[in-house]
Amino acid sequence: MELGDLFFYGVLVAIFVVILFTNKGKTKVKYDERQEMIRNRSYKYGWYTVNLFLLAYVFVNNNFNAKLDTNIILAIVIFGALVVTFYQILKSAYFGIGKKYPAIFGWLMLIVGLMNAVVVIQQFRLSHDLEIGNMACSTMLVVFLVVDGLAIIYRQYHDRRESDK
Amino acid sequence: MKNLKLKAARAGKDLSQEDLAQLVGVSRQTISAIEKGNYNPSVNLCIGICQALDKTLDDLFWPDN
Repeated sequence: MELGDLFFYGVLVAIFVVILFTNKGKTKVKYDERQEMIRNRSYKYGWYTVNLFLLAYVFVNNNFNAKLDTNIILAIVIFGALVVTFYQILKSAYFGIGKKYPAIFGWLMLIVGLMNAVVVIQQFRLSHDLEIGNMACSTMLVVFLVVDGLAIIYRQYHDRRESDK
Repeated sequence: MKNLKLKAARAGKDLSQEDLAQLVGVSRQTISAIEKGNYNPSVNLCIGICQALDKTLDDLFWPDN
C-alpha cells in the first residue's frame, strides 16, 4: 500500500469519526453511566493496543531490516478496533439502553468471517511469493468478524439466561 | 459484595430487572451488575433506584453490621 493511499484512508476514517462523535440527531444511541464507563475504558485499551503494536512495528522495521508490509499497520488498527468492540460486547456496553443483543448480527458476522477465512486460506495456498504481512489485513478482518460474531452470540445467550423476566 | 437487599426489594415489588431498569433509565445489565456487586452505582442512580422501589438509601445500600 502506497503512502498516499494510507493518507486517503486516514482522512476517510477521521471524517467518519468526526461525524460519529458530533451526531446529535435522533439516531444517537443512549448509554447509562456503567456503559459510558465501560466504553471509555475500552477506548483506553484500544489506544494502548494500537500504540504498543505500532511501536513494535516501527522497532522491528528499523532495527531488524525486516521490510514489513504496510498492510500490517491497517491490521494493527483493525486489531485495536477488535479490542474496543470485544470488550464493549462482553461487558454489555456496545448496544445502548434497552437494546437487545441481536443474535442475527452475530451469526451474520460469523458466517461472513468464515467465508472470508476460506478466501484467505486459498490465497495463502496459491501465493508463492508472500512477504511478511502481505495478508495481515485480510487475516485480521477474518479474526475481527469471527471473534466479534461469537462475542455477540455468547452475550445474547448469556443475557437470555440471566434475565429473570 | 452481592446486594441481596436490592434484589429482595425488587422482588417485593414484583418487578423484573428489565422493569426496574426501564423505571430508572438504565440497561438491564446494569441492574444485574449492581445486584451481583460487580458495579458501584453513582449516588444519583442509587437515589433513582430507591425512589423506584419506595425505599431509602439506608434500606438498600447501607451495609449491615
